[in-house]
Amino acid sequence: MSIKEQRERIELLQGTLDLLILRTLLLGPTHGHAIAKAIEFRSEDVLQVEQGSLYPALHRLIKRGWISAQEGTSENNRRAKFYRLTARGRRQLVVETSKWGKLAGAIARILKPAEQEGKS
Amino acid sequence: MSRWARFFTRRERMMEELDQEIREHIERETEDNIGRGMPPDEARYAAMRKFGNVTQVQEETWEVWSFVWLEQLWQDIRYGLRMLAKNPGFTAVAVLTLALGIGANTAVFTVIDAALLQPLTYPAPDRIMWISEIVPPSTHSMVLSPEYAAWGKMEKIFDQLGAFDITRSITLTRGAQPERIMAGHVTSSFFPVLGVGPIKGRTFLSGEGQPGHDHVAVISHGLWQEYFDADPNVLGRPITLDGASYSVIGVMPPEFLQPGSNREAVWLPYSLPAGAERPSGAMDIGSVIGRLKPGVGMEQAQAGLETIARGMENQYPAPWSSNHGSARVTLIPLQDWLTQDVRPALYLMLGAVALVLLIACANVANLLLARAVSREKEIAVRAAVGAGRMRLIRQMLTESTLLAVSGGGLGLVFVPLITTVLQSYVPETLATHAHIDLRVLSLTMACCILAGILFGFVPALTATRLRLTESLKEKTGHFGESKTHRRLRSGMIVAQLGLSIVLLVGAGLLVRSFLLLLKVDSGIDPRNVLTAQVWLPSGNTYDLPHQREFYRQVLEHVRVLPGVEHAGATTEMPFTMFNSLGRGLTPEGQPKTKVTYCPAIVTPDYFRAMGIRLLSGRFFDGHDAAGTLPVVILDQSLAHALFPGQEAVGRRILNDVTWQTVIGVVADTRHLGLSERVMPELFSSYLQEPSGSMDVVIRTSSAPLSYVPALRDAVMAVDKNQPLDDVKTMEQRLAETLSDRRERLLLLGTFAILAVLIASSGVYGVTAYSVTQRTHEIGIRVALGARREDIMRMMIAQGMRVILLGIGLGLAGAFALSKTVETFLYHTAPTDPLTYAAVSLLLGAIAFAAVYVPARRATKVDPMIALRYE
Repeated sequence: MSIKEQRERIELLQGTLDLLILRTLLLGPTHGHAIAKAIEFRSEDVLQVEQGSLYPALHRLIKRGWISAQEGTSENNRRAKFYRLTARGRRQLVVETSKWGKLAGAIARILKPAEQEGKS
Repeated sequence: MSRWARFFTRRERMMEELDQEIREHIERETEDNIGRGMPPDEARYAAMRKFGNVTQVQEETWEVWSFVWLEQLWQDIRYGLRMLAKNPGFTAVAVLTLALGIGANTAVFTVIDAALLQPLTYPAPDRIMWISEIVPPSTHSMVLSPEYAAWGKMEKIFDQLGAFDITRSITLTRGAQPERIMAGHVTSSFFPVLGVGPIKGRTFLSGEGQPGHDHVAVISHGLWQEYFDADPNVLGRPITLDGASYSVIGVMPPEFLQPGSNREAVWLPYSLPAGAERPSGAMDIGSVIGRLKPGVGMEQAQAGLETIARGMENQYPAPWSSNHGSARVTLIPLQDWLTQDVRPALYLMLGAVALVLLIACANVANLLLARAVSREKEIAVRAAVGAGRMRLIRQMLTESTLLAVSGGGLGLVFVPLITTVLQSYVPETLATHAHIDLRVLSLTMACCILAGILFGFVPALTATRLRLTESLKEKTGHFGESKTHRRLRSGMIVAQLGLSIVLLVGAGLLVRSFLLLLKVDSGIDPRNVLTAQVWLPSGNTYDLPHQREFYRQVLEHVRVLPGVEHAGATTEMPFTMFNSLGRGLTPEGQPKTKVTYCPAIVTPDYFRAMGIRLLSGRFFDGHDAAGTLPVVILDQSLAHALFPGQEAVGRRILNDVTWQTVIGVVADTRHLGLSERVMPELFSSYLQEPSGSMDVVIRTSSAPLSYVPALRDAVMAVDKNQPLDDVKTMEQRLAETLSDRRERLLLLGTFAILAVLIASSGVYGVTAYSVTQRTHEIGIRVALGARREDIMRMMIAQGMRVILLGIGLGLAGAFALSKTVETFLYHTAPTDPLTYAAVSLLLGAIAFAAVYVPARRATKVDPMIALRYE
């Protein structure tokens, strides 16, 4: 796989991944590994996140002020970085969710006739 | 710690934490996997695979926290510098071309900045206004005393209103050696209007200037230093001016200059005589300046002035109202008034250098286009390893901006040179502070960046429009360059030639005007003529008979000097502003005419000394003296105005109350300069009319300036207190009337030549390049039987097509812009076909040569070598 193709895939995922992270953190602050696990679990393993790409995304969100990070202790008493949704992030989640809804709806409307044509 | 340092250390820490976090993450994933029953090795491997490329994750996170563009810019700059260093020839040509363009722009801007943009040095200069009154048909402002007095009452509008008269030279007596210095004549409110006070003593009080109180003087810092040796107790000390004693009351600061300074060394009080505020006592008041009250706008002040003008029309009946009914009173900022003469010329120069810069940009763009072809492979490689197009364009723009900045830096070397020339026709008071400062530098910088983008953009776009695989596979020998490329390069040539034509037409029109002007008959013979002002003191020592006697004796002493052929004197020196004006003469037996003329008082030999031709009648002689028949000599235009189509000699005219007989008619002289219309002149003999101070004119048999010491001695022999002033040959005076035009011509000409040089080197370069590119093609043509003449014709035809297009478009552009030079022309239409034709031929010939030389090389192509070359 060339470098270029890898990059393109990350870019493709970027917006979606941000949305998924924000949605996951709505349930409460947690650490990176748990976020990855939660996304996999909640999507019933359909979405296989390339776990590494989570970290640049987390930093992007910190830079935008949508989430914050702080040191904490995890469930098995290990030190870890905990990510938490900020008030701005909460607002942004609403915006992103409605955007996503629109996008998904639009794509669905376009794809629907194909489905029907396929049936007939 | 600085913000930056904090930022970088914080970023460092975050990256360390990230490493830690990644290790933790993989650890947990491994444990999860083990929990699901995987053997430890496999569990770790799976965790790492699931995580992905750790380095890439680190890099991407790093990018989130870095100023990517800034760090990339730094990379681009370093890379660009390496690329420029690798091609020293290309870099040198491009930088030099840009240096000329940017340097010229910086220089012109420096002068414009100093003369037009920098505020005057007085406090709150934008509130100082110059007030003019123009009574048609005159175009010169003349404010009369009743109006000045009325304006002075506009207390709601002006803080102060002041006036100053023309600066005159005055004799300063110091020991045995008299000396002429410049004396300003100003009202008591003059200094307060400007807002400048003395560093010692005081300025004038309102009563000073009235007879009996007027022997007080404010002196310049220079005079204080030099004449009084900076005496701290200078106040009250006497100073002898024109034989009278004045008392020093104040010293001005060293940087103070009167508006439109003539280097005044002393200021004398000036106030309206009693009764001057009424129309019956109306007198010319000189220049009027006023300081607006804070918050008062120009419109408001203008409206106030008009109300007063209309009010005075009602208050004072004819002849006031009839003369002043059409008067236009206007107020403009003092700075605008001071710069109104130089502004058009400076803007013309700015336009010219902007064109030069555009040509330079087009030329460098062409160089870059040519280079882009040879860099195609490099760019293709960069793109293949993943550089995006935007990134490549940015890289190339960085390179072109680097070129422009280097050019700008080198260009600063030319700035002082051009500035010195330009400064010479900007009034001294305005341009003394012309120097390169931060404003100028930032403009140059802006110029550079703009130029860099301007000439780099198109080459960058085309160079990055990639045919990736082709470029990589292609060998070095091209079968001609792409069509778009060739068209772009031709376009750049068309632009260069077109802009050059615009400049050449401008310069050509100035040249033609200048040549026409040189052919104008000045009416005098300027060769071997020396002139000098010989002043009379204004004191009581010389009454009228004494004045005549003084000049008679001076001329007698001068006439006997060996080598002096004729010696005369006049009150009206040609090529200077006239001292007095007359209006209205009555030819005998006819109604009074409204002719405006200049009355000159001359000695009999003046005409011979000046070389003014006698057309009919005779010159004055010693018998035309007081008590005999009053006689006058007319110049041709006055004779024509008074006696159209008739012989004037022997006729009489009524001048005021005296009947004067015309004894001669002489040729017209261009009193105000060659380009001005003839001012009719009426000559009287100094033996019949009081003359006051006169200029002595001598015609010599050899180099006139060598007679200066003898002339000085002759004058001093008659009166040791009389210095010579304004000593010049007539040839110098004539040259001075043309100096503005000559300098404009030289500058614009230089810019035009520069443009042609750049443009023709561009044509040469493109043709030479195209010959190299097409060696293979030409080889095939020759191998297939094309004769040398055919190849030659083909190359020249292709080159000339572009050249003719450029010239054609340039002519159209020059035609469209012709109005801008109109004010600088003399008897030349701004669309003068001869100039347009000559300029086209000139540039066409130069461009032809620039095509011909490299095209000849094309005919020398050996088909065998050209084909084997592949």
